[in-house]
Order: sequence, then C-alpha cells, then structure tokens
Amino acid sequence: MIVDCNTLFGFWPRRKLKSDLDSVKAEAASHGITKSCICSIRGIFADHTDGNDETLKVCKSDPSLEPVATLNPHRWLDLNSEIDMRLAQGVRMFRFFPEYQHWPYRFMPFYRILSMLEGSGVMVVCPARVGGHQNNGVMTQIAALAGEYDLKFLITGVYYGNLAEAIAVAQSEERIFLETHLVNSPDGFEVLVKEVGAERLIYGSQSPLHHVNTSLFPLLHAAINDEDKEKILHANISRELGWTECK
Amino acid sequence: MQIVDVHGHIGKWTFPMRCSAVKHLKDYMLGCGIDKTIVSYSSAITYDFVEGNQRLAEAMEGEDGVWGYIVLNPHYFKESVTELDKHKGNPKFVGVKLHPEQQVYRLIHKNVLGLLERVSDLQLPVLVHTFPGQTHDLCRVAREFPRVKFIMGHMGGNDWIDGIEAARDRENIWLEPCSSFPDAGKINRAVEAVGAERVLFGTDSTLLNPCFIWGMLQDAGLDHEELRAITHRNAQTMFRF
Repeated sequence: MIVDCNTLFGFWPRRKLKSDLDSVKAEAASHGITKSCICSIRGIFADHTDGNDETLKVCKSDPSLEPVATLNPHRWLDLNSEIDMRLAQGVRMFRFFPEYQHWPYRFMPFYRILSMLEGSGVMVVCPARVGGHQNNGVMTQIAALAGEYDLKFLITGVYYGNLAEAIAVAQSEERIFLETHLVNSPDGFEVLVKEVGAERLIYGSQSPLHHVNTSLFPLLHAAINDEDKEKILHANISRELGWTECK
Repeated sequence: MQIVDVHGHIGKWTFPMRCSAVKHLKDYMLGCGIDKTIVSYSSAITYDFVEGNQRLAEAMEGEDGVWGYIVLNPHYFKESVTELDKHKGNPKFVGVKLHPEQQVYRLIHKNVLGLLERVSDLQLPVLVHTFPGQTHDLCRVAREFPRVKFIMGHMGGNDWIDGIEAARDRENIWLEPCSSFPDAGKINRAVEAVGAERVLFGTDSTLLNPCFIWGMLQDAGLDHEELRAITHRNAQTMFRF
C-alpha cells in the first residue's frame, strides 16, 4: 500500500504540464499508489476558496483521494470562515505555498492562521525550499512555529542540501514530520531513519510536478527494513491523520 | 541496457551522508545497473584541485567502471595547465570538469578561454556545472571553441528551461539533466529541443542518489532508441568507450 501525501491537480501556469486530475490519477495508479492527498492548483495561484471547493468536490466522488486544503495568508478576508468550513468538511491537512505566493514564515497573517488551526489536530504542510536552492534556515523557522503552536507540521522538500537542518529540527520538535519527495542523497533514507526514526517520515511524490519514480525508487532501494518502508509509505500518515484504514 | 553515468563524484561532501569511496559509488552503480561512471573528486571542486585530482588518480587505479575528469581551477592558470599535462597521459582521465559556481568565476574569463584552447587540442570533453548565470556563458564559449564537446551539467538547475533554450542551436553542447530540481517533463523537453543524440545520463552520485535520476528517466516515457542514446550510446561516442 502506498499513500502519496503530496499531489496537486489543475492547471499549472508556469510551464506546460499534464496536471489535470485524470492525468494525476493515472500516474498514481500506474505506480501502485492507493491513495493521494491532493490539493487544487487553483487554490495556490487564484482563489483558495474556489480551489478548496474544487478539491473537496473531486475527493467526495473518489475514495482514493484525500482532500488537502490550502490557505493564502495574503487573502486575509474571511479566513476564519474558510477554515471553519474546511474543518467542518473533515479536512485534515492544510498546505501552504509561500514559495509561489511570496510570503515568509515570519509573517503575522500566517501566525493568525496557525492560531485558528490550533487544537484541531490537523497537519500543516510547509515547504522547506523557499527562496531558492540551498536556502537554509527555513526549517529552523518552522521549528520555532512548531514549538509555539499545537499543530503537526509536515515539511516538504528535504534534500541533501538541507538534510542536517531537517534532522536537527525533527530531533528538537516532536510535532515535526518530514516528507520525502526530494530525499536525494545516496543514503538519505538510511541516515534519516537512524537519526530521526522512520515514524517521522512520510512519503510524497510532488506529482505531477515531479515523476513518481523520482521519489519512489530511492525509497524502495533504500537499505532500511520493510517495516520502516511500510511506515513511510502509508502507516505514519494513516496514524497521524487518524485513519483507521485507508479508504 | 547499458548505462553510462557521465556525472559522478567520489570524496566527502559537507552534508550528512556516508558515501565517499569508490566502493560506495560502485554499490550505487550496481543498484541502478550503471556500468560506467565518470567522476570528479569532490575536494578538487570545493578545495584544492591539484590534491583532489591526484586522489582521484589513485582511487581509480585498477578500478573497472570508474573513469575520471580532471578538475581545473582557472584562478590558478599555470597550475591548471600543469594538471592537464600531468594527467593527459592517464587513460583513466577522459574529460575535464569546470565548476564556475563553486570556484566563483565566469566561463568567459580569459583564463578559462586559455585553458579551453589547450583542452581543444587534447580533444577532451568538458563537463561544466551550470546553474542560472552559467548557461549563457557556456553557450558563448562553446561558440568560440566549436571543436570542444561541452556537457551542460544540471542543464541550468532550477532554470533548466532557459538552459535548454540556450543550448538549442549550439551543436557542441550536450544536455545533462540531473539536479535537485527533478521536474517532470524536463528530459522530454530536452529531447524535443536538441534530440536524444545530445542528451546524456548523469546522476551527480555520490552527492545524489542515482536512483533519484534513474526514476526520473524511467518515467519520462521515451522510446527505446531515445533511451539507448541517452543511457549509453551518446556517452560511448563522446568518451570513446
């Protein structure tokens, strides 16, 4: 069983890409992915309410899709009602895109959002790669937020260049989990399992922006035991989101 | 299918990883079915190129499947010329590596041009690390040295679309797409722009896991002939394997 915690669908405006829902689902199915946590691209670049509506709609009709809502702190207006509505609809993951929306983690509107989400038990998905290649220090900022807000944080974009920071923040904050689509150092999984434990790692592909095998091959070939691979591939996210079993 | 990886390394990196020796590289080559890897020594890029090249020469001795790049540092022109002279007779060294980002220089600097004149005479392919800022310089020097075969390593990194376009009409530039920006479609776009005959397979191992790039290539949906060209045929021709 494979759960992909990091997928998008919709129209990608920044380069030509097959990112419509059917293409994303076909890509997942062809790689044995049984469940995809999915977020509308409309919510990133256009209106988050429209995007979240779209996400909820497609997930409602397909049990292999788990809705991921997104919020743009710049929008500000009606954030409270947007959050209340998505929580009432059962959304368990809220994903943020500061790398495209140009806001920093030290950002008062983002703090407000985190305050609104506190206590709901949801997972907040945040990218580490904000501000370009080898831009370290971002995860340290997320760790500070994890220490302050009672929320689970899933950090995407861990790769060789920020691996030390990823290990340090995961070791210092138990509410931090690391997503794996970019774990690309040769022994990245071996090092992470040893340093932070397989329980803190969650598989994602970043499909359709990336091909699935880019992230799946390194994990499947990693010299870690099968039990740890199962945790990374599906068990950890199932546990953290309170799924009794995959739909 | 044979696989030649034209972009590898041995030596330590300043990141949390324990892969540095030829035996580690070979383990990863085996895991991905890679037959040959052409490597540079990490500290030749990040620190002392003369010492690093020597370490690579020693590490490659008697090793099947591993070939080397002579790293040059244009800040040290005379020493770089000496490096070429020292290693040009070693059949394990089959190319030259330039890393303008790490060593902080521009490819259009007169020292680089002076070194490329010598490289042109030696008929050695040149692997150039390219992230944004270096691709257009590479195209300029490629125009000045039409006999030199250049490899655009990383294909411009996060600005790979610009890298591809810059190389489109420079027939002595081959594209090599490995990086930590494994965007879907980038290999296909490279093939569309320059043809599979001018795309090479590189992994950046042992800085990166070769499976990471191998997975990207596997999912690119290329036909068998395109895959053959990229995985080994182009490299065999370029490096005369």
